[in-house]
Amino acid sequence: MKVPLGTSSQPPASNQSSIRASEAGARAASTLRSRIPAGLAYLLAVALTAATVLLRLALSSRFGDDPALELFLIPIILSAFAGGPGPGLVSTALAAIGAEYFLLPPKHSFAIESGLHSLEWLVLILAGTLISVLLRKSSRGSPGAAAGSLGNERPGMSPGSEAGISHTLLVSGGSICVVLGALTLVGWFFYIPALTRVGPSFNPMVANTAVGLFLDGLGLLFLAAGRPKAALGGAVWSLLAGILTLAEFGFSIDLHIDELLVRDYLRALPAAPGRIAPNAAVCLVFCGAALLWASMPRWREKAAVIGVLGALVFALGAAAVSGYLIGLPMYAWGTWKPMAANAGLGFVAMGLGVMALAVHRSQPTPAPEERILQWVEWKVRVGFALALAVLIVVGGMSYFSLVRLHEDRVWVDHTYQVIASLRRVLSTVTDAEASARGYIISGKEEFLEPYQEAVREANAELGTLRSLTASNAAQHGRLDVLASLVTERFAVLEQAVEVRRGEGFAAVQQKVPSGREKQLRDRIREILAEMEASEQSLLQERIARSHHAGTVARVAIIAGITLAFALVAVALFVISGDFAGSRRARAALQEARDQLETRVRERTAELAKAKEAALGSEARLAGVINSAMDAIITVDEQQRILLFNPAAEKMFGCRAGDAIGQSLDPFIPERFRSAHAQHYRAFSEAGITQREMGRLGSICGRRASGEEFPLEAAISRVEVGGRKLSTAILRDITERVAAEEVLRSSEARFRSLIENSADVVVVLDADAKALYVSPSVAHMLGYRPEEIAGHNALDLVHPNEHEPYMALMQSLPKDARPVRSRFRMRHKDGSWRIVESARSNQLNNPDVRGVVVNARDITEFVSAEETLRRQAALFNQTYDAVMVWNWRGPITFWNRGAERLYGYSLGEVIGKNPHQLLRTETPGGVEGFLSVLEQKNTWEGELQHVTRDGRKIIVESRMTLVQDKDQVCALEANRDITERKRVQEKLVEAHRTTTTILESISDGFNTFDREWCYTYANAAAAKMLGKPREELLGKNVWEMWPHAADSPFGVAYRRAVAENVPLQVEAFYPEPLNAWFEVRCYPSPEGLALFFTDTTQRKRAEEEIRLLNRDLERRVAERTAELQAANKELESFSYSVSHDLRAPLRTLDGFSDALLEDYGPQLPAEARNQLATIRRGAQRMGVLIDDLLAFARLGRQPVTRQPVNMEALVRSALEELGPECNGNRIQFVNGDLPRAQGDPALLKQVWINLLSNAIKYSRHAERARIEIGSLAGSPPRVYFVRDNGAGFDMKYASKLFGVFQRLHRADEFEGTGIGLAIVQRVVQRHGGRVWAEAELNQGATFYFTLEGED
Amino acid sequence: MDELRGVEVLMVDDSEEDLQLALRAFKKANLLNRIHVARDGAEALDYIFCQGPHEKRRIEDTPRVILLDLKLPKVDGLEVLQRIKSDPRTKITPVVVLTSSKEHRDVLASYELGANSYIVKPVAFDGFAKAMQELGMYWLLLNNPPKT
Repeated sequence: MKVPLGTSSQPPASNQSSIRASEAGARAASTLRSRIPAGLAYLLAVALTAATVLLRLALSSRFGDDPALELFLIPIILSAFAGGPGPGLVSTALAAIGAEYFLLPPKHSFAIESGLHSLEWLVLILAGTLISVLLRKSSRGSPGAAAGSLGNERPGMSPGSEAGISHTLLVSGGSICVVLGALTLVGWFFYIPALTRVGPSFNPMVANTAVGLFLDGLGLLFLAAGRPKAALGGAVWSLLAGILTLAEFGFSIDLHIDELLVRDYLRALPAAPGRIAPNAAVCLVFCGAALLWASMPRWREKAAVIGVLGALVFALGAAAVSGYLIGLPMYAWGTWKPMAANAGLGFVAMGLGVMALAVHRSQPTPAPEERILQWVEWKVRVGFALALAVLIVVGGMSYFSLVRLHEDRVWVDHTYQVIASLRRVLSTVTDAEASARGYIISGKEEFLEPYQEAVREANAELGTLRSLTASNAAQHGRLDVLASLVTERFAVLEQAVEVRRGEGFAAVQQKVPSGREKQLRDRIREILAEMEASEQSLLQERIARSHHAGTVARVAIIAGITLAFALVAVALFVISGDFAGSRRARAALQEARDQLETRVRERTAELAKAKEAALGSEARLAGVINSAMDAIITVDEQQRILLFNPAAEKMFGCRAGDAIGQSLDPFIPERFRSAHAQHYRAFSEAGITQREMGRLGSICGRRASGEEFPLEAAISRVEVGGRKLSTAILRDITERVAAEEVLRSSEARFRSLIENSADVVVVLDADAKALYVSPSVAHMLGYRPEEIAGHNALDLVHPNEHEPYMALMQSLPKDARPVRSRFRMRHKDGSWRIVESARSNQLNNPDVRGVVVNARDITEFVSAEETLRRQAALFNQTYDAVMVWNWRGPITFWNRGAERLYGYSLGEVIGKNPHQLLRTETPGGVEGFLSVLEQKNTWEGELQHVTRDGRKIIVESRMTLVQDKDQVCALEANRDITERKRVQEKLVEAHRTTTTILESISDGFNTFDREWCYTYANAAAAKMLGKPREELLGKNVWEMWPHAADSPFGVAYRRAVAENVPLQVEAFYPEPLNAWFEVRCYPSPEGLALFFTDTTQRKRAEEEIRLLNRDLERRVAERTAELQAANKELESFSYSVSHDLRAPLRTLDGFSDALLEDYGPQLPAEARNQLATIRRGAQRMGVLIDDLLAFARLGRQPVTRQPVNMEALVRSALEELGPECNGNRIQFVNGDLPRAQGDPALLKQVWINLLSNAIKYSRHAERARIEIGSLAGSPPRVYFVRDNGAGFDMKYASKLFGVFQRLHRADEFEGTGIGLAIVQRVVQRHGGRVWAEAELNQGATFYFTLEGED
Repeated sequence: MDELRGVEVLMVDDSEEDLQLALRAFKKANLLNRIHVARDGAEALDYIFCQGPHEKRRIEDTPRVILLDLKLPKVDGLEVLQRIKSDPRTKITPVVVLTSSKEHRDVLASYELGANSYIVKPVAFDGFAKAMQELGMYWLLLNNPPKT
């Protein structure tokens, strides 16, 4: 392929422009950095920062304690802007060090004191670093790239979105200014003050400012519309008004321009009515300058100047507006006139508009990458302008707040001075009094000197006070009163001094009125206190105000700095993405250029190679021509020979020297010469070769000897140097033509042989393509030979045989041995023919070069043979035993199925009688079915046969009689059904068993089919349902039991069938059965089976039990309630016994005692005895009641069972009884006492009672002996207490444990008779038993157990 | 006169006999303190909380000890006790339950309601007199009452 070298030397148009754009970008990026040398930038950073430090120190008196570190942002920004990050960071570091050393407390030290100032310092460092880094990023897209033209600035035609935004800002800023200015002017001209100011308490915007804003706004709109000249009017007015006003302020003159247009009838500030505020004037000057700049064609290129002016205007306007918003005097410069709030708003809009104008100016031509850079640059500018503006506002705010703080501090000091002075007045007055009094009392002259000194001081102090309170009218008034009072006081003192001096001490007391003195003193103190209170309240007020101002300033500064940082950060993050995009674009461009260069180099190399090849081929051609076997002759248009190679010399018998330059004609036979000339012309004109020099292969040439010879020719034509040359390559084919002639005659003979053969002869190539097919194929396959020749033989072979066919073709022996094969081939009519063929591999035979196939159709032959074989195989393959026997004769056929079934092989059975061999048995006998067979020619039935190994089998047999020529044969086919029979019998047996079981069970059982008809019912079912079985079977259940359908039974049956789950249901069936049934239903594919029981009896029994239970429960409840009531009654009874019965007893006893005591001596002895008896009776009654209550309490107290150590219990009981034991008189014998389960407190009571009893009743014994122990033996454990005391008669043993039952008289043995009753109750409550054995005067033994005897 | 000077013992008992015996016992023990008697629970409450006929009494002049029977007409002794002990003005006044009942539940209920002592009146006068004497000695002479 040819390379278009001409175009590859120039890059495509788009690439070209991109390269140019990127170069412009790179140039622009380096512009800023190249503007200032690096060293100079660093010097500048150091110098600027140092200057700032000095400036700040110089202003120390102004700022006081406030570090005012914001100042340092200015050198940092300037350094970073001018020199990049390095100088920026240097400036930051210097500022940080300087501020820390000189400004942050403690001053002149590098120590850091925590607090708000340190925070401010950290913020400064962070801000400086951020600014430096940020400016490094932004310096890649520098303002230098802003060079744009003013030519294409029609609105709406700007290329990028930034143009849209800037245009919007421009137009809206201009419109706002126009509207504001116009409204204000209307207000002035038509006396509508509301239009000239924001509110009644605000200053109005003066008319000159309004005109300026109006014209400047118009100017912006004109510039936006692309008519710069029209903006000049506004520019001129603004500049003039601004500069002249500033001059008025600067030189304190009046140029009479303030009320040029309208009289300032509002006179908000009478100092200079109608005059523009100085900051507004500056704004106007900047606006005018910006508009002028934008209007001048020569200056337009420097849009940055316009941007800076716009930012300044914006900052001044914003400062004024925010000053009004937060209440700091940032709207005014010093004491000069303040800017109006609406003017501030106007200048904010104006500033934004002018900034937008700067961006609008600098719109570049729309090259994609440049556009990105422009966009970035715009963002950087806006971000920084906004941040700068915010910082300026913050700076202003902090300045004003500092000024105010300072003022407040001065005021506070002043107040303190006043208070001190007041106190001094009081003390001097007091001093004067004291000294005067000293003199009056003592008469010593040395007291007079301090007195006069104090008077002087007091007067001087009053003068000081007067000057201090000059500005405070109220205090001044009070001071006047005070002064007069003090004067009067001193006059009185003076008078006293004079009197003392002249007339003595007594006269003083007489003449000087002491009341007035006191009055004056009090009044002075009062006034002083009043004044001090007033000053104190002023002080509080001022401190509060200064605190408020400080808070406002701090909040504003922090918020402002945060906002500035946020703006800068946002700008940074926004543009960093753009820079990445720009870098990517540049990288892609570079890559494209690299690829292009590579391609150019490749093409150049190819071209060089092609040239070299061309040079080499010429030499090679000459060699080829000379050594060629064929003759090569080149002729020109006139058929003159130009080239005649050695082979041509030999072919034509003519030397090249003789031929060259001669005509070609001598080498062409005469008869062809004219035709050749014509052909040659046609060829040279149209490039078409016509063969008119004889048939193919018989073009003739003529040797020099005149001999003609056949030749082959190839002719080509080239154009060299404008000449058309033809070159012929010729070959002498005389010998070949002769050989072909011989071959042709021999082939014809063979062909006729083949073509007349019945077999088809085919020659295939190695891929089975038919090279030759003999005509006889038409007989075999219906195709004409030419329909097959050239096609692949495989196309005709049956698809299933493709693989073997190809395998055969591949594996043909090399030695041409014929191989026989058989394939199915498709006839033209679609049928398949079986073709047998012999093929021999003659591929290596040069005369044939193919596989010779001799094929013959053998379809008819094959199909007959096949049928027979298949039938036989079929017989053999079937599992049924098949045999053929002659009628009443031997077996003639016996298949494999028969062999398998009976175990006899074919050889064993041929010639044998089948019935004898197999011992055929059948209910009707062999003769029976033979006669049927004879009559009907066919029979079917079951037979029993015996196999070779003696097994009896049942077969299902089919026999057919067949008339075969003269012989009658029977064809018998048998199938073994022995297993089936066995299973059937088993099934019948199982069914019989099941039925027997079902019939014998007592539960009812029946089945329904899918139509809900009874299919079976056992005897029990019939009995329970009260109907004979025959009546049930076949009947529909719903018809037979009309109530069943809606009863629980019906519901359960249907559900069981629907959900195919077994269910159980118990319910009552009414008339005529009147019985309960429990039914279990089991669904099955055949229907539903039911087991059911008549549960009427059970139900009745259950009902009875339920009723009984209910009755029982009710009775238990009744009894419980009764018992509870009784208990309750008993309880209240015992309670009232405890309380009420004792009181009268106490009365009895008490009053008897009183009687005895009071009147005892007067009573006879008998009466005293009787009273003593009354008392004994009452006391005994008291004991009885206590015992009775204790006994009753036992019944209520719950018994808690726990393991109890009985020995320990007895020990502690004896200890308690100690006093009753009477020393050693009683011998205690302690036996073995095993542990027990019980309530320890109650058991202890048992032991105490038994032991005290024993002690009591063995009182009279000579040698009392008390034995405590337990009886060994099987449980329950028996404990006992035995004594040898009074004992008792066993016939009273039954009364022993009764309450209040005693067997001894009270005068013999005291006691209430409750002790043993308690013992019995405790033991019984433990489930045990207590009993006693005794003999009168022989002692008693008390036994007890704590558990049941079983 | 008691009304104004404030009593040292408030005795609440419905039994005339018991009262006489108690006073006798006090006298025998030489305890001649001012004693006010209330004959039922309602009267006792009227006295303690300065209601009805005792309106003029100052509630701050609490008796040094209250001897309280439990079985009282109108208002039960336990209720009187509960009222005394649940009122912040009177709850620091010592209350001695003096009753015939030995029932455990009465003892328990009294102490739960904040009784300072529980004394069963013995049937025999000797014991009764001894108990009254000891009681008076303790509460009127030995015990240091809280200042109100």
